[in-house]
Amino acid sequence: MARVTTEETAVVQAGVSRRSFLKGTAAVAGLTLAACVAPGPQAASDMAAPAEEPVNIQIWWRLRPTIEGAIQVFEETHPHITVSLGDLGEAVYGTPKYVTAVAAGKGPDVSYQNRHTFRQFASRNLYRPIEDLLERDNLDKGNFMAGPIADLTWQGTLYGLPHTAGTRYFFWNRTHFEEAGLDPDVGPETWDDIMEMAPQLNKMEGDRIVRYGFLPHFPPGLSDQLLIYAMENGGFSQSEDGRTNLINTAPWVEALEWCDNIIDEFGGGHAAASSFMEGFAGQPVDPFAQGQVSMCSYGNWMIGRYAKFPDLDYDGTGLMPVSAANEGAQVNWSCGWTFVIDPNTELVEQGWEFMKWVISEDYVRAAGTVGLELEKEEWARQQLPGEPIFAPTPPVYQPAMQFMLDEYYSVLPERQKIMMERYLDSETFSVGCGQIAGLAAAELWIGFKNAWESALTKKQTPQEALDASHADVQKALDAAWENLESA
Amino acid sequence: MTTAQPKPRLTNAAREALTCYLFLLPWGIGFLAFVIGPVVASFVLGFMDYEIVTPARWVGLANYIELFTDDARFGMSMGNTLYYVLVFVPFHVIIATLLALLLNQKARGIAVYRTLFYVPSIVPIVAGAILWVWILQPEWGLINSTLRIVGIEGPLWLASLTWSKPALILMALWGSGAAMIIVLAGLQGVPQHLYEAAEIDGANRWQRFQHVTIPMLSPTLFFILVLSVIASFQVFTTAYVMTGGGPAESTLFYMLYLYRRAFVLLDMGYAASMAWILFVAVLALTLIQFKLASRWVYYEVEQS
Repeated sequence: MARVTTEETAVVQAGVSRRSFLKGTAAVAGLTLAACVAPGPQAASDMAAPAEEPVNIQIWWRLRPTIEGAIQVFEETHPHITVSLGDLGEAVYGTPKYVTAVAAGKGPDVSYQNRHTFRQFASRNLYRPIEDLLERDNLDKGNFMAGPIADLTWQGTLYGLPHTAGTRYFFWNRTHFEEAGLDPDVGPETWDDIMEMAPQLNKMEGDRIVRYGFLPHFPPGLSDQLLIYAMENGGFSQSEDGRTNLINTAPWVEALEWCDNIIDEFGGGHAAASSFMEGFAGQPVDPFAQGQVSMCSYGNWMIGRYAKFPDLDYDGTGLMPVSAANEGAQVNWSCGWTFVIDPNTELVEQGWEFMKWVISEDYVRAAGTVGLELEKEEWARQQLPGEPIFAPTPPVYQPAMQFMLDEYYSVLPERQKIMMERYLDSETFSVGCGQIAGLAAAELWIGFKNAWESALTKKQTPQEALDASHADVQKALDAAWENLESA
Repeated sequence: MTTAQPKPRLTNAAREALTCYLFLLPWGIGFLAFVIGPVVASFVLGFMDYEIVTPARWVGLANYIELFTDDARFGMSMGNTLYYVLVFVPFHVIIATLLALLLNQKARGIAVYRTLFYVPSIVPIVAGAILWVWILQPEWGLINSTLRIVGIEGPLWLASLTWSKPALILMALWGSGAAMIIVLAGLQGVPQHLYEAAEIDGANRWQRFQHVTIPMLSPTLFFILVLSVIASFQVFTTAYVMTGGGPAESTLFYMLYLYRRAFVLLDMGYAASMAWILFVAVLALTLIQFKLASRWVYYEVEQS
């Protein structure tokens, strides 16, 4: 710390009288107060830069090196816009950072949002409607995957541009299948197939299971698995009008009973299976990648990631195994990320320009170039054999998807290429998570978790657990509709 | 010829007072804006239906009535929190005291030992939580692996309905170093002549501890007790990071539930009413502790 000498002190004393010091203090206090008062929309408008100067927009995204690289490209190709990137924070089961920022009038101009809770927030005016912009620029909704567009539409109005998509995906380990005398090219198509295959794929050491044929609570730590099993059994989360929650109906109860049963019957019971699975919670490598689970229900984004495990010979499909009652049905759900505009921003045009760019093939090219380089580095770092297998996240906008197919998916190894085709097919029959969750989305995702954990830990029967979650969700749903109608 | 000095507009005392207030002003503005303001706002919000993004609506006592009559999670989260408080606080005080007694010895390298025991309390809580997730891992975590060596199959810890709360308490006790330092300071403030007098009177080691150390340390222990109770009622971060309130809401503590209502379910009015209930409960408990303190806390100054 710098020391003030006696001489300096004297100068300070001589130069600054008590009165002027107090005046200064008062001025600082005044400035502090002024700084605490948020400028209104008019003030923000006054502060906007002149048209010829680059305009800075704030974007909240999930920050990664690929994103930062792509933004550089955007700024180079759009010299009239500069971007301040911020991290979105927690965003899967609610977006507290975005919600509070918008409520305070300090939201980012453009933000990434998950579709899990989209309708709940769209109905509360957290996003700017974009129908006018879409129409003005002749952007055809038909050029997007239908599911995500439906997710983002609330009462006939579109509130965001879908960016990426993903479905559940069923993987199996081909080597384990061969060892067990099963056909490695054919995965299970029904629950009965799983029940038949799981014990054959289990591997024991004494009375301890060291390799699980199938565990329904996969991947470790994810809490919404119940949804896919209920859908496989013909379950719907809510009535068509979105006013009645249905998660305690027979298909849901049977699905939870089936999961509970398979853990008890082929998973060594809850304690053993949980103990095993807990070991992988928070780890970058899941038990399927490590060859300790033979079949799992996960997501399409793992097609590329599993390729980093040279000893893992895997296959998979987006056509989920179904119960006997639902045999022949094509079942899956889809979710993903979306860009929205803050309802209070003055920089709508700049934000919209960015959004049009980010859904396009230009973004896919920019992010793909950076991503491929990073993948090559990762491949070299891990000393993985062969060429990098690069399968970037699928875009929702069809021209961008076509570019992705031509540029990246077409050069994938044959098996991954087929798996990616199966994924794309599954998007055509998947139900969007926004439609599944409705207006009490946050309560619904919590309800899944509670029911799942309560039943599998034997705290409650599946029926009791689902009744309890249903009551919570229905209460929130009733309140949401009531607020909406009284607004 | 003498000229009359102009009478100062302010006396020295008034000027000093004014100076004092001006110096206090920045803090005062901050206190009003960021402490008193939110406190008053939260009190008012407790009587409103406020979803953050839509205008608040006056609902009177509806939030409080719902909390006490129609919200099973309110009672459950309070129960989970009381369990945590009742188990954690006694262990916390006892462990801090025992460690302080141990580290109050004159031994070589004692400063190193003190540092070692203190360090966990300054580890960032999220980093500590992630470390403990690994330590508590049922299959190959440090605790269960050690137990297995002596033939005991450890519990599922964070995945168990029964053991999830004890697991979080265990982790919290790991950070007892801060309280230990305070007790250590208290121990070193006990006058040596009291021990000497007790020794002359024939008191053995235990009697000296019971009749000299404990009474002289009682204000310090009371301080730690009050702070621990208040802090325990607000337990949040470890459960948020390590369990998210699970499994099956067995670690859904009051503050975690409050956070969920406010920032996940956007029910800010309801969360504000929860905050006030907690405030009243903690205030009442603290006042009771102060009332009971006269029975066991010894203040030398007061006595003399």
